[in-house]
Amino acid sequence: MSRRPLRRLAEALLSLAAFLVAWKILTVATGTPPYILPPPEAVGASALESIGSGVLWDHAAATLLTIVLGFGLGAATAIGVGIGLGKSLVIERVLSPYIVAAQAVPVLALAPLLDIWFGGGLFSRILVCALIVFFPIAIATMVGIRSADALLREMLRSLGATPGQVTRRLEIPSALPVIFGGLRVGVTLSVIGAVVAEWVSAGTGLGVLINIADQGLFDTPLMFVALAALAIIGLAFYGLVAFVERRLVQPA
Amino acid sequence: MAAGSAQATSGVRTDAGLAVRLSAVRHVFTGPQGELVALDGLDLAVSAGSFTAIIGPNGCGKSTLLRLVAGLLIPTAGSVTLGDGAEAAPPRAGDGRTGLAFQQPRLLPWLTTLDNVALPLALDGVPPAARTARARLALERVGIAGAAGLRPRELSGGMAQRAGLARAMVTDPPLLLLDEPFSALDALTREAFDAELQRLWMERRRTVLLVTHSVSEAIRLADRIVVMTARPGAVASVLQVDLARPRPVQLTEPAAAEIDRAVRATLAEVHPPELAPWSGEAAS
Amino acid sequence: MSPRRLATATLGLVLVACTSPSPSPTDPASPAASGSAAEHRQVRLLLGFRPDVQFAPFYLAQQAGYFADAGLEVTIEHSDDVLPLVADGQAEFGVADATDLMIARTAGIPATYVSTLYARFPVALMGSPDFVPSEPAELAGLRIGTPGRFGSSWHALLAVLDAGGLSLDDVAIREYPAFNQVEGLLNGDVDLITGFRVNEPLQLEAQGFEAELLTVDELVPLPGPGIVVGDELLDEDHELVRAFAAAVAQAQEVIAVNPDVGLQAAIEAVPAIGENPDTARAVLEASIDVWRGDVERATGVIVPEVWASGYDIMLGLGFIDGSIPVDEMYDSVLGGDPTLLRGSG
Repeated sequence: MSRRPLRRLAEALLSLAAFLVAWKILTVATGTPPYILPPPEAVGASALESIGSGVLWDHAAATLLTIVLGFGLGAATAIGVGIGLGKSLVIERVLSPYIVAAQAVPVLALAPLLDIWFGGGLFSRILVCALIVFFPIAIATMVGIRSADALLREMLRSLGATPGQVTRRLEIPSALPVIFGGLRVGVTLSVIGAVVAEWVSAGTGLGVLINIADQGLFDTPLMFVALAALAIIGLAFYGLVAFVERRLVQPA
Repeated sequence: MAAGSAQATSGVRTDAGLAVRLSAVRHVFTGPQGELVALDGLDLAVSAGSFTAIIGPNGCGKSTLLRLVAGLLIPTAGSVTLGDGAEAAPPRAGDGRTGLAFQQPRLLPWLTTLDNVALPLALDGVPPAARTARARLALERVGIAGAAGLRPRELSGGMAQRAGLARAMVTDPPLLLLDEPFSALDALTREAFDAELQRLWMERRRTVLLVTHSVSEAIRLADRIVVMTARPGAVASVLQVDLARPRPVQLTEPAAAEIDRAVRATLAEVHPPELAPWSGEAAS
Repeated sequence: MSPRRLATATLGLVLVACTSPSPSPTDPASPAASGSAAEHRQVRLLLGFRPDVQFAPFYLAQQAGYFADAGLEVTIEHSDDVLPLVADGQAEFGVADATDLMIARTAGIPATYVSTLYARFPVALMGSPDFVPSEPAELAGLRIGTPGRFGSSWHALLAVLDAGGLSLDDVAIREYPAFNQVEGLLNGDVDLITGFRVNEPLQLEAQGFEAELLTVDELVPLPGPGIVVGDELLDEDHELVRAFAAAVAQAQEVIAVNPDVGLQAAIEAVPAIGENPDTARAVLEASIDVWRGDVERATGVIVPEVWASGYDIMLGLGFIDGSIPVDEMYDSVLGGDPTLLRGSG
């Protein structure tokens, strides 16, 4: 059992090495100046420096906080609303227009309004993040709830299950695979949401660091470091959701 | 009617179970395509503790009939009651008086077999220790005690169907409704299961309504066979089965052959286009 | 987690990042009609932000044919990444802050400042007279609104704090990434804001807010915004750069004498400016004042003393590390003796 993870690690490292080599070849072959596309070693040096000085962690921690709280708030609300939408056609008819309309307005446009209404700061950033993850999770939940097997539903009814029991014992477990699909999408969106929120309401964070590196310090390697940190955070959270899914959801 | 028409050999409790009565039952389904009259003018009395088979081809309304008795549907007209005399009342799903087993196992895929069988008890709020014990007992009775920790996808078709049966019986209901429980299994397994069902029923008498489209299964198991008409369904005729129990899988008595012929004749009479032989004239 | 996904995601992110410094093209003005278009060299000019009446000299140079006379057909676009794009040759000319150029050049971006647009440093601190201090040291304890922690406003703010012996810990900074710090001042969330002396004060006045200004260049001499080009273009075609800068300087001088000409050119290029002509004219007149400074130097000339002192301030604040000397950062293409006064040389 210890050979498979080892082999996977080797595969991952090998593909990462190949990626870095391709990147280096790209910079050399196209002759792109380092302030447009820095070579991997420049980004690596910048990464070491910003990790050592603690700058990277300070900003990453702020973004992580926004992501965790924003995703938590957004996902919890979305699942609750999604259950309502799934169970009741009336609720769906009434709420759908507002939900879809809110989704159609780009978050980048809504974010400054939220920032003003909620006085800037962490809460408005969490709200922006929650808003961006809401829709895919709510819709996934709704679809999942509705996908509950009609035959099983009849079986539960024959046992006298209350609507609440049907939700808890049939609809939610049936919906879990689809809900987790929505959560996977949502968690990667939450990274975008956190960055958008930071661009609007400033403070500390990897989105802010990107701006400062790009327009304040003209330090393109540092900008890439921030981007890479965001990518790693996104991957990590995605992996976390997939891990939880493997624990909670039985394969069909 | 007369209770205990079946003569058993030993160790039997008679008169357990609920009587069932359907009077002038009419049931209509309304849908986007318009109205469908599934049953009309159906009268049926089932005595407590008896084993009744209901037979007819698909579409005759026998599943609808079962659901009315299970309390899953309320008749458009007429009445359905369970029990005798002062205790007679319309059926209500989940009141513990009825156990229902389906053609498919209908097990929740994310629960173990044990938890699936214990489900009716969990819904009723029975504490975990008690319901685990009773579920294990039910699994033993249907012979799959070893499957307790398995998930439904790990069970064979026959084992899953037995689990469904165990679930129907875990609350020890006085009325058992079986909707073609073995028709999805192969014929050999079906015969074996029929024998087991007979054994279970003889251990502990309860009222059983078995919907089937197998004439031989009906004769193997039932005290009475109810033949249904084509849609809209009603009772075409009721045939008594006075054969001794326990009945073997292959019934060679002449009386059995006679009942078989009579049932088929009635079936051919009320469902001519489908059940008439291809060569030769159709029954009128 | 598939390793392939790791690589693909990161590569995708890198590729996205590479394509990110791209300007948003808006071409409000059409090229001048004079001369045959085929002879003119097509060049791109990158301006920061949105179109504004302060860019009137460029619009006028386009419409009155000054660019055409210099053999140029200029397309005006807007971008947040002027310096890297100009250095890389993706655009020929740009307008940038001198302090930003110092940082960029030190960071390895080969762009050079070639002509001064604003002789005075245009950033000021402003607020109600109760809060505007006469001395930098009095800034202690105040709440200050600024767009962000980068750009000339930020450099100026730190320079002023430093001049008063204060650090960032002595004040409370509030950021306004949407550049709406005026709102913060109006609803009392901050005591002072940074802003362009030609812009925010007029906005405040329009809202009935009597603002007092603490202009930065009195306290800390920093060079103002100017025209920037990539080193490659400067080496290749010095004359082209000179001709461009001369055309812009000419337009500035014409507008200084006759602001309405500039206003008309701006409205022609960006009709939206015409919705508030009075405000636009006021901004333009204030801009003229900042372009020229209070000494009548020749338009566009670069003053080494101002650069030297600005460089030292930026060095002292830690924005640059001194590895690139100041005289490599600019090249005064319009030549001229910076000490000569206008009209005398």
